[in-house]
This record gives sequence, structure tokens and C-alpha cells, in this order.
Amino acid sequence: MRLIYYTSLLLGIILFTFILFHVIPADPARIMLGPNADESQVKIVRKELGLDNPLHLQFRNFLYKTITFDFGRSYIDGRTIYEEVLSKFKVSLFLVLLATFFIFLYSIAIVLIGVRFYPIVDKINFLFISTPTFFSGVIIAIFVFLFYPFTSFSGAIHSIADILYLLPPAFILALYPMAILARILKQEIEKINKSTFITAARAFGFSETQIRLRHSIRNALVPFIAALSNQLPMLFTGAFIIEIIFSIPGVGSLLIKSILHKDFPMLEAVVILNGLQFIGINLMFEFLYPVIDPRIRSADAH
Amino acid sequence: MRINGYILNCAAFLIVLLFMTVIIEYLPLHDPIKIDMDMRFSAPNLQNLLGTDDLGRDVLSRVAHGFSTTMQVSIIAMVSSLVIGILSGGIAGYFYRTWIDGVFNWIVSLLFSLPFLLVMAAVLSITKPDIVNAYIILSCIMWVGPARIARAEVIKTKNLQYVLASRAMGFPEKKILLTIVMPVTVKSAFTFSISYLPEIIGLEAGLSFLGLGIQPPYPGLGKMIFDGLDYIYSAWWLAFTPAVALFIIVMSINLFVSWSGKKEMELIGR
Amino acid sequence: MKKIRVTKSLIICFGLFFVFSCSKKDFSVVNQFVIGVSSETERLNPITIKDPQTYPIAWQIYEGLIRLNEDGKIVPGLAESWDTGDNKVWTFKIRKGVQFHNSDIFDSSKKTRTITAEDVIYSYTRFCSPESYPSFVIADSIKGCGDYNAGKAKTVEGLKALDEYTFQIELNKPEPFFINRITSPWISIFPKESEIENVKDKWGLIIAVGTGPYKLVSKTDNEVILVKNENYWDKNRTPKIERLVYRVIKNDQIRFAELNNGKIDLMVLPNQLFSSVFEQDGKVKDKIKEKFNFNVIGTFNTHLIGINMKKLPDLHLRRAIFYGSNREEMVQKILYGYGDIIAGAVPPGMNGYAPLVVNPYNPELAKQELKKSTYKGKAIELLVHELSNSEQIGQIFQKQMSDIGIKIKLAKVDFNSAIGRMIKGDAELFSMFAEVVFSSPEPLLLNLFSSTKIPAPNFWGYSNLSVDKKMDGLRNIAEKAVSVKTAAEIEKEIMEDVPANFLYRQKNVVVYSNKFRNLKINPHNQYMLEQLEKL
Repeated sequence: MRLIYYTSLLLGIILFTFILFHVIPADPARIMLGPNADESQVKIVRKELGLDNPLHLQFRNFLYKTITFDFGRSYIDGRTIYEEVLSKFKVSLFLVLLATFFIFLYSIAIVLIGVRFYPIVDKINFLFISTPTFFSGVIIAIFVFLFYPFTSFSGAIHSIADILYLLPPAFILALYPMAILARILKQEIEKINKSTFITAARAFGFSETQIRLRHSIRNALVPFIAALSNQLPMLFTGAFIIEIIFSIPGVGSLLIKSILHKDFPMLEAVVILNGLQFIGINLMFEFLYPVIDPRIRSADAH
Repeated sequence: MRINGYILNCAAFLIVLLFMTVIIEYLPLHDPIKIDMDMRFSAPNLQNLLGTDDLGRDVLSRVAHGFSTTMQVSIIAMVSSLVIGILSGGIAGYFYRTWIDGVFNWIVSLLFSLPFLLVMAAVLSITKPDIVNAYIILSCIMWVGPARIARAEVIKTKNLQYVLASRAMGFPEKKILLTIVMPVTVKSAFTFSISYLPEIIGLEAGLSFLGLGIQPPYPGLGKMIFDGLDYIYSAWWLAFTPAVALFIIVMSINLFVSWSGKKEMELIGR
Repeated sequence: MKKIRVTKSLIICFGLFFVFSCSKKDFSVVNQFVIGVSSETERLNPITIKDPQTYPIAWQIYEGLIRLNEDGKIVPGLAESWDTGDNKVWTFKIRKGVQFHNSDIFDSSKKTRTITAEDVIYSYTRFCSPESYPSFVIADSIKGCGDYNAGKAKTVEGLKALDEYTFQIELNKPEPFFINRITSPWISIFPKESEIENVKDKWGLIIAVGTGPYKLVSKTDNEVILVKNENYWDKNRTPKIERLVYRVIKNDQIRFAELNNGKIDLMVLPNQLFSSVFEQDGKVKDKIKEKFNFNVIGTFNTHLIGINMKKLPDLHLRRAIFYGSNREEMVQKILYGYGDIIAGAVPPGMNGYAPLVVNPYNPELAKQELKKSTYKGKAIELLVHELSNSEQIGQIFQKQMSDIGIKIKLAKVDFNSAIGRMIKGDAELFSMFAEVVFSSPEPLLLNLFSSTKIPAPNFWGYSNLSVDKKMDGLRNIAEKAVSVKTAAEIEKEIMEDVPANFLYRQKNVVVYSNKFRNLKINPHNQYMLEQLEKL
């Protein structure tokens, strides 16, 4: 049942992408050849790129190629699109993983800290939510680069130095989701703390830390994970500002570059693969829910 | 009753903000778009309280007008996305477990999975790149958030104990909808939207990166921050002041939301 | 709990140990030069390169038949001499013994090959092909190139090899200035092995073989590394610096910070950083002077506001725009004086060119012209984009126009959309910059103002048959000085119609560490790094 849902979603993404790009009034042939080229020259390249074919024919070719993961070659570069997008996804993946690491750190801190400090936590959360990424990004970039040793990125994850280079940008990427999730976590914990079974646990004599770690978390987890499953997929393409500031070749900056250059094959590949990533993460989380909360196992997933 | 009180509070807050944006036109500020090439990059001084920018324009005035434009359009976007969202989400939730709900979910997931920037760029390359157009399209994407919330609320309340009881007692469906389901739905969606307002404001900056949104020479907070970053070494006030302004706005919205929430909780006596 | 804490700290300790014991793969090589660039390098395929950021890198690898030295004089390159009798047939003597860079793409055991006239024919043919970005440089000029470019012929008729080392070009019509079309390495020589089956896909991405002073070692999205070509043909110009590293640092502020930290050695100063480096009058700030040297290059590139003559047919309105633009203000204020104002299409000094109109700014005259026009106050749309100060120039222009009574409305779009709309004829005014590849005014005027060149690159739609004839007449003037003077007169006549509002000629400011010296750059923006030395 779920499989049909997600497959149809994927098809929808593909169709939507295709329509979107054939609605944008842009001429990739002209962009490739620049403003100085003669119209006759542009016409030939347009034909070579298959931009002349009737729409349904183009879509048929497109669909067929997409299923075999053959996204063709970029208009700008001539590089095989699939390889390029994949390598950018790998970099973005590390960035997102590191950001998730920071998110977890912060969330665990919230849980351990206890209710007393929550007003301060509130203020910190507001701070994180309110600062626009490009601002915090550039400020941190400038100051961190003064003394942070890992300041060059080889373009792919080849060594530990590369991973460490990604730490400051990952931190900035994590600021907003970190705060959102912490807010939700905090609310849930407050709600739970006041509930009856926690009072019972206290009456039983469990230590405060034990209560926090074993009981509060378990119950607060579900909304937390739900919010996480919302935030995570957006971090891939949403990181473009950070990628631009720190010169990280990830999916976000690839997206922007392709939009500006009207590199349609690349854009289509990025959107579709991003859609796959979105579906993948959602599926992963869907399997996670019953594991965390046994109560959900029997209920019907909506 | 009490639920309406909360909405009234928030609505009042928004109206105050809108009022402020209108008043700005009448304040004795410098002309925000007057270029004076001899006065470029002046640091904050008595004449220009927040300094001047790279074309000699007064930063204080630009921040004020930028706040004004950004605020007006963001609130409009928020309200319109709220309305669309409540309607669509509510309907979907009401018809839970039927094909209407299925289609709704499908569309929502689709929109959610696409990078919004792409959709914006695509649509805006057809229409004129204009701040008004940008926000119309923004609300067409933003309605997803409140819609999801509305749907969840409707599903929850539809089958609550006392609703079932009311139905059993013979209350007409329409009355149940209006007095019980609707207010809760609207309230949740409203809360969500208001706390989303900062993000809508922040999105303007992402748009200005692509040249979509407020067109030069009119000031927009996001664009000012973005342009100011180029001069962060030599003229820090260019990026700093609009960022602080944005921060204050967002902060106050968030504070207001959480204050109302607390008041709400007190009143209910939870 | 305690167990977790202990394990966590152990892991962290381990990690740090690991990290600091792995020495960074830094060559800390004696002899390398690191250049900071602002965007990823394109594919290093001479046919497709279009980003001005990529040229300086590509031009270390690929060379043309001739080149310009830093003073703008033509100097032999891969051709040791050339001759023409009637300016219609040009014969080049190819230098003997020039070898391509070592590479596995070549069959022989020596992994290289000497270039011959065949290689030159191959390269020029490729440059005439439809997918070639620089084809406009030679497509109208060389016989058969235009047909090949439009897909109508299988080979280029005008390219011949008289013998192994003699290459001949036949033009459609005589052009005494033909030689100025190919001084830029836009047209360069590269091997036909670039099209072999398993090389084609990697060409420009991992493999790039030319004859230049540097060879490609590696190219990733973040860095391009070149290494000195030991077998470079010009023994007087063997590079002194072993390694060139081009590092991508997108954010201007961070790139500048890296320059200050000594992590990179050279960068081109973007206009946004002028305020950090120069005082208001254009002098270098003292603390910057201590560490850095500067090179200021007057390029051939010009900045302009193009006019769509169909949408603004009123000559008096156009003249009002022309006289009302205070170019001086733009250059002094935005560029801190690093630019030369121009009123016509040809940058001053190009091959001895001296424009007849220099600074037409005259607000009174502008207002008079405006009175004579039919302008009623409707806002005229000016397209601006995100590159090269377009937005700032647009805003100043808007103010200057409003001072004389013309209302301008700005519309910001991305650069590619701007070009699209400009060519479609959709824009009334558009802010553009012209990348000028030629080193003489005649081909430039022919390209921009011939009626056959509408809509590209004659973006304004200027059509004047008598001017067409006069420009054609330039083909018959053999003496350079006369030709250049005649070109200036023709340009003056064209500018009276105001097809476009030219503003200034671009000057690049290059900042580099004073640990190095002898940096030479020619007006095409070609870096002659083989002369660079480290102190």
C-alpha cells in the first residue's frame, strides 16, 4: 500500500519536474553559445539538444532515460549528470549528517539539563531561529577562519581534514532545525513531567536522571522524530546559502547554479534525486515509529 | 469565547504591526532611495543615525521602509496561505480515509519534496520578477504548513468523545462543525502560521539572491543584509543594522506567540 | 551514564590524536603560486569555455598562433612568422619542434607529438563548428567557416596546409586586421586525439593537453592544479614557478581573508572590496601596501547600457540619455577611478585607437534633446543583473536620468535571463558588458553594428546601409594608422544615432603577495605567469 503511494509520488515528481522545465522560457542553446553567436549556429545546437521535438516525444525519452538513471550530460559541462549529482549528494550527505550530530547533541543537552534552565533555553532557541543563515554563516565564517586549522576543502570527502572542514558550516545549518526540535522536545517534556506516571515514578524512588533519560525521552520521542523527519530532507537543498559561503560543492549550490544557467538536464536530475532522498528519509522514519513507540505498532499509520 | 480571545490577541498584534508600517511613511526620515555619491559609506553619525550605504542612502530610513514593505507583504502572504490552508486541510481532514484526503496528502507531499527555490524561480521567470508576484507564489507554497495542521486537528476533533456525544444527541452536523471543530482548527493553524511568519520574512532574502522579490532601488531587509555582507570589513553597519532589525521583529513575534500561548494555558487552567 | 561518559571522552581523545597525527597533505612546496578564484572552473575544453574566470587558467595550457605581450604588441606564438600579400590569404609558418604536453592520449611511446599544420587545421575547424562558443571570432571571416558553422558544409574551405609546417587561411573578403582576431588565445591549438572514443568524455575534465607553459595535473570542483611544462618550446619563457594552484573560494570576504593570511597569493579584487583596500580617492591603504603588490590592467572589455532601437525609436530621447549619463561620476565613485570612460564601443588605445568623442556629459544639452522628443514621462525599463556592478550602475543611471527628467524603472533578473530577453528584443534598456576578443577596432565595429548581425551581437538593432558600406571600406585600408583613424570617424557617425550608451572600459585590479614579483598580464587578461618569480 505504502509502496504504491510512494511510487506514485515519485512519478508525480518526475512529471511535475518535466512540465516545470518546459514552461520556463529559456533557451539552453543560446545560453551555451553566449550572446555573440549567430542565430543559425544556435538553431543547430538547439536541434542537437533535441529541444525541437514535440513535447510528448521529449517526455517519453525523458521518462525512459530517467528510469535507467541515464540523465545524460550537462549542458554546461558535458559531464555525466548522474555522477556529478551523486558526488554532490555525497558531500551534502556528510554535511547533513554532521548537522544531525549537532542537533542530537543539543537535544540531549536539553533533556539532561532539566526544567530549571528552560527559560534560558527558550531565549537561546529564539536566537537560533531568528538569525538568517547567510548572516550567521558569514559572521562565523570570517571569525572562525581566523584560527580554525581546517580551511580548505578538497572537493570531496577524502580525509578527516575534509570532514572537519565541514564542522562550522554543519553547525550553522543545524541552528534552525536544532532550535525548532528543541522547542518541541522541551514542550513535550514539560507536558510529560506534569503527567501522572512520572509522579508515580518519582514516588517509586527513581533518580531524577534516570527518569529524564528513560521515561521522559521515550514519550517525547515521537513528536520529536516526526518533526525531525520534516526538517531533515529540507537540509539537503536548503543548505545552498551555506554551501555558497563556504564553497562546499553540495546539492544546494548545484541547484542554484543550474537554475541560473538554465541547465535543464541537471535540474531535472537534481529534483528527481532529491525527491528520492525525500521519500527515502520518510520511509526510514516510518519504520522507526513502531520501533520507538510500541503503541503505534497496532494503530493504523495515517 | 476563550479561543476567540487568543485569535483576537494575535490579530491585534498583526494590526499593530501593519499600523506601524503605515506610520513609517509619515515619519521625518531621509529619502530611502535618494542617491548621494559624496556620502557613501559614512559610519553612523548625527546626520545619518545608522550611517549610509554604498550609494550614499540613509540606512535608518532604508531599514524602516524595508521593514514596512517586508512586513506588509509577509503578513498578506501569511494570511492568504492560512486561509487556503485551513480550507483545504479542513476539508481533507473531514473526509479522512476517503480519496479526497488521499489526493490532498499526495499533493502536499509533492510540494513538500520539491525545493521551493526551484518552483519560485521557475514560476517567476514566466511572470515579472516583482515583490508582489513573489509573495503570491509564496502563499501558494506556504499553504501546505497550515493545511497539514488543520487536517490533523479536524481528524482529532471529529472523533472526540464529546463530539460523538453531541452527534448522538442529535446536534446538526453543521452546528458541530462551526462551534467545535472550526475554532480549534483555526486556532492551531493560526498559531502555526504566526510562528512561521519569521520564516516567510527570511525567505525574502533567499529570493533576492536570485533577483526575485523587491526590485532595486527599493529596500528590503533580506536584500540589504545580503548586499551588506559584501562590505562587512569596511562598512559593518550595512549588514548589521537590517539583521538586527530582522532579529528584533522575529524575536518579538516569537515572544508574543509564546506569551499568548502561556496566557491561553493559564486561562484553560491546564 | 558514567560508562557512556567515559567512552565518549575516550573516543574524542582518540579522534583528536588521529587528526593531529595525520599530517596535512600540504606540499609546503618551495615553489608554488596559489590563486584564489571566485567560482568553479568550467570544463577546460577550448571550444566551450565562456567564463572569464576560466580563461586565465585555460590559457596556461593552450596557446594560439600569435599572442599579445604585456604592452599589447603582437608577438609570434606557435607561428614563427606570417605573411599576406592581398590581406585575403594569410600564410603562417608553424614553429618546428613544438611538442604537446605528455599524455596517454598519444599513441607513441614518447607520449607526445610535435605539432604540424594539420593540427592547426584541425583546431581551426573545430572552432568553426556549431558547438564552439568562440566561433563568432572567425565565422564570418574565414572562407567556408560560416557554412561549416551553420551545418551546411563538411569541412572549412579556407583552411589549407601548404606543407607540414605551413598553414594558410583564405578569407571571404580582405581584412588587414585579420591578425587582430586571433591574438587572443580564445582560438588555440589542441590535438585531434581529444576526440578519441575514451578520451572525449574526459576531455577538459581530467585531461587537457595543449602546448602551453603549464600542464594540467588535476581538476576538481574546488581546485585546479597545474604544473610546469619542462618541454616548453620557448626557452626564454620557461616558467620559474613549479606549481600553480587555483583554489575556489566563493565568498569574496573569505577569499580576501585568505589572501591576508597568506593562504593564497593572488586574487582579482572585486569591486565590493575596493572600499577595504582603497581610500576614497583611489590610493592604496597603507597597511595593504606593506604586504601586497598591485597590477592594474586596462582590458578591452567595456560596460554599457544597451538600447533596443525598435522599442525606443525616438532619436532625441536616445540622445538625451547619451548626454545625460555622467560617466565620470560612475567611474570615480563606484570604481574608485579604476576605469576609463568611453562614449563609443571601442576602448581607447586598442591598436592605437583614439576615439573622437570622449566625455559627452552635458545635462543642459540632454534636457534640450528631451524637449525635442516625444517623451511623456512613461517609465522606461532597465534590465540589471547580478554581475559586474550592474545593479549599482543601474541605480546611479536611474538617478542621473531622473535629474534630467527621464523616469527609469529597474528590473533585476539573473544574467542568463537578461541575455535571453535582450536577444529576444524584449528589453527596452539593458545593462551589459561586452567581452571584446579582438585587438583592433575594425572587427569590433563590424560585429556590433553591421546590419547583418541583428539580433546578435548587434543587440540594439542598428541598421544603416551607408555605415555598412563604410565599414566594409575598412577592408581596403592597409595602413594601420589610417584604418584606425577611419574607424574612429565611423564610430562617431554611429554614435550620433545612439544605438547604445557605452559607459566605461573595465580595469582589473590584481592584488598579490609581495613575496612574488614580475607579474605580467596582457590586455586580453592573459596572465604570463612563466615570468613570475618568487623572491
